[in-house]
Amino acid sequence: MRLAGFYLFALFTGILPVLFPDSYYVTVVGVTICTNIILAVSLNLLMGYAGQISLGHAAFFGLGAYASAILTTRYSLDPWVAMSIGAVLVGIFSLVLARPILRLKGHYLAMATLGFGIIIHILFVQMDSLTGGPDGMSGIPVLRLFGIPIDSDLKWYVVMASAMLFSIWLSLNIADSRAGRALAAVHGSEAAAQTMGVDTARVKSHVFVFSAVMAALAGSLFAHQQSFVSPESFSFFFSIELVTMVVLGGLASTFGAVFGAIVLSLLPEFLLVFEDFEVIIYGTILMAMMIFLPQGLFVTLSRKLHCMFASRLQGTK
Amino acid sequence: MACVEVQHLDKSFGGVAAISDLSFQVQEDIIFSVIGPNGAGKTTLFNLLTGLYSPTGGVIKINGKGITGLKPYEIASMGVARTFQNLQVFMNMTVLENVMVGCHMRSRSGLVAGALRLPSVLREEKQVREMAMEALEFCDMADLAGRDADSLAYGLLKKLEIARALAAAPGLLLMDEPAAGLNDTETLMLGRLIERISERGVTVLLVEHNMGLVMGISHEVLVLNYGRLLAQGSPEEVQRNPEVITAYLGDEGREIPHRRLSGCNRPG
Amino acid sequence: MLDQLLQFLISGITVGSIYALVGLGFAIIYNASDVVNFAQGEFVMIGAMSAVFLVGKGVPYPLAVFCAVTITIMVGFALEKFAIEPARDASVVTTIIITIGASIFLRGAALLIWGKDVYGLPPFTGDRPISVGPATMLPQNLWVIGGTLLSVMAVKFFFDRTLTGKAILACSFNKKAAYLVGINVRKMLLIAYGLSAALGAIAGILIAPITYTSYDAGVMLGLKGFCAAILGGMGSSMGAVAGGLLLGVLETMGAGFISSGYKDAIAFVVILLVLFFRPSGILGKQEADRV
Ligand SMILES: Nc1ncnc2c1ncn2[C@@H]1O[C@H](COP(=O)(O)OP(=O)(O)OP(=O)(O)O)[C@@H](O)[C@H]1O
Ligand SMILES: [Mg+2]
Repeated sequence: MRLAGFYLFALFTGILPVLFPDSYYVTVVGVTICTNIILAVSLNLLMGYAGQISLGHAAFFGLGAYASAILTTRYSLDPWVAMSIGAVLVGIFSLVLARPILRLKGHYLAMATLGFGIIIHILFVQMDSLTGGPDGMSGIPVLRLFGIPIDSDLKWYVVMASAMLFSIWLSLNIADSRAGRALAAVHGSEAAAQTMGVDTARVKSHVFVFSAVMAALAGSLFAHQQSFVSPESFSFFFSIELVTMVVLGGLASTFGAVFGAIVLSLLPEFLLVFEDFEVIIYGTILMAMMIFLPQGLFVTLSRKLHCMFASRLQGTK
Repeated sequence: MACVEVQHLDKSFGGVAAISDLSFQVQEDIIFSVIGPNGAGKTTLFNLLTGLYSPTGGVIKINGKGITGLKPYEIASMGVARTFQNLQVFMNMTVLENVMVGCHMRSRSGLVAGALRLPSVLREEKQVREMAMEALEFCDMADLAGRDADSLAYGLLKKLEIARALAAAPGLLLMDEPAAGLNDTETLMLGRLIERISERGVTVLLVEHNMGLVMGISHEVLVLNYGRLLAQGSPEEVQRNPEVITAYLGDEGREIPHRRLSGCNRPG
Repeated sequence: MLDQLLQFLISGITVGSIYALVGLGFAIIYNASDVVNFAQGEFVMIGAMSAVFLVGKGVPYPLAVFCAVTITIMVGFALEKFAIEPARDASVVTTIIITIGASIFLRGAALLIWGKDVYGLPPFTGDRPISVGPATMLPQNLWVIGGTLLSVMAVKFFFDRTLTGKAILACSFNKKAAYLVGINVRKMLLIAYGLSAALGAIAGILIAPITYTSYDAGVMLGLKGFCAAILGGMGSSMGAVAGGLLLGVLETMGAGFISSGYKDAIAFVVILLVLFFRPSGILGKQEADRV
């Protein structure tokens, strides 16, 4: 069945808080993981499906977060209204940016997206009358859903896990749609895609906008969940981390991105015990995984399993 | 009306003139072959016809409409499809998905609709699947639909490109060396396939080095040499043309070997 | 106004020299192996930090500089051997992540060894300002500019006149052909990484007396060097040098006349504008896909 993996994963996310309602790893780290999964899945649409590298994805996440923070605290807008305005603004902004940026290829595209991310980050730091500067902004109001304030870790887990599952569902649907195939075609051979009637510039910019808006919405949720935002969360390094999640799991696979997000979100938690060695170990793991599993951890593993089962079945026949 | 009309076409890369002052017409519903030694400019001509390159000079008209300045996808939407000399199969997809990309222009739904899997999308998806399967069946590949493209043998990949192009329901199909790398039986089958495509009312433009195939199925043949038109006519006329024989067919005058021939030509 | 302009020009060329050296390192590695080495900035940091450390240990200044450059070259070799070589056939994205992983690793190592403190090197030859018309400069500015000039000339000589240099260029044009004519491609790659590391270390040591250094000083420098290389058309060595100088001057002018808070943004704004209007850099050539 098309969505079997999805339902299995949804079941798993649903059961976790029932089994471990007080676990720090479920309700606190779990929420971070959900946020990162949404971001990785959205970046995978652009990088994995369409093959367009982006080293500035954290910027859209940050723009969403700051839009919510600024509009709710400085203009006292309702969180949902703020979130929508933020998403629309990011949508327009990314639409304007999409064409010139996606005309670039390879290292030039990497440079441009990286530059864009750094510029936005510097704006967050420098425009302090609006953004609170390097210290960030606090006091972002509580989000309410159907009149219920989302004010506990467990409630946030439910909200974020739902959003996360929704984003995975969207991504899986896209893979199996006309637009998804057009994106994969652009990835496979841009010339062939064009001669098959795919307006490559158009599909690329559509997915760029879609992915940016998804990241912005995740940013808005993040802002409310943390009730505090600061530029640190949206730096160049976080963009790199997102790219790593996508590549680590395995490009072009939604569950690869999910898997990468989970691994990379948990890694720092486990590395904490190494204290000063944390950075160096993180770097080593990053290099080693890319060197030895360039196809991605998830994709490699699932292929191995697939082969194993296939040979089992052959054996019983 | 001529399906393709080329007038005084020029294309140069830096100093190299790949096509110079080329003019010809292709009538509707025929198999029209373009032959010429390696580097004669055949692929360049196809790239110009499909908008991947823009001409340095001259005019190309398809169904009477000039294509200057049009993007490749716009030209494709005029009913032009093609295959590539060096395979451009989407290796990251299954066989069926490859062919479904061919149906891109025959379907509508956008990214957001697809992401939400609206009912209209489901309906269209079913149609696209049927159209793609039909193209695969036409090429005798229906049983391979679920295979990953990168698991296919070379000959099948070449056929997959044809199926993908057919899925676009083109009025004009350009095929760049479809027989290269195929064995004799496969080539024979290919010839039959091209004739069946032509019978469906598709104008076929064929670039090919295999003279047996070209002379066997073409209604008209054009000979290119150093980017210039050397001769044009029925297969018999071209084969009898003394200029073609001296400049291209060489001493043997029977079959053109697949290897690089530029060394054996004399200009003029 | 005019003297201010001159003053900015002097400091612009000084930082620009550093970007030029880092950009040159980028271009050399990119040419030789098609890899954009995001650990380039770490070479700068390691060069400077090792020099600081050795000088602190009482090693005579010139010897300390020599050892610091040698250490960095070793790091360059190691990077090629342990991170790049095993991933020879990896995609662009994968190599980008590998070099980023390497840079995190090197930064982590520096953090372990030297901690988070900020260090400075004493100026090479005193710190009495020299006046240049209405502006002034420090002897170290001269050292930076002169050192860069010498290094760039040495690199140019190396690629234009020596057999090894030409062999590396041959590898960059066509690896297989280079291999077939008997060039030891692997060794050439090692040399390219070593050379690029040496340039980074020299840049780091030259600038350390002016800007100080710390375990994370390499990040921004590396990225700016990448900008310089892209400005120059990625793969043109002298283009990278020109790009670096241009970037340095624009950045200092921008910081001086507009706002110093946005100093780091200027380089990236410039690079975005350039890429939007000339997608393959100022000096790069446009190329069409061939199918
Ligand atoms: N993108 C390009 N850039 C530079 N030169 C090109 C390009 N495309 C083709 N050429 C040159 O144009 C000339 C014609 O090439 P083309 O590929 O059209 O030949 P062809 O007739 O298809 O040959 P073959 O039988 O080998 O496929 C050659 O000299 C080739 O080198
Ligand atoms: Mg050709």
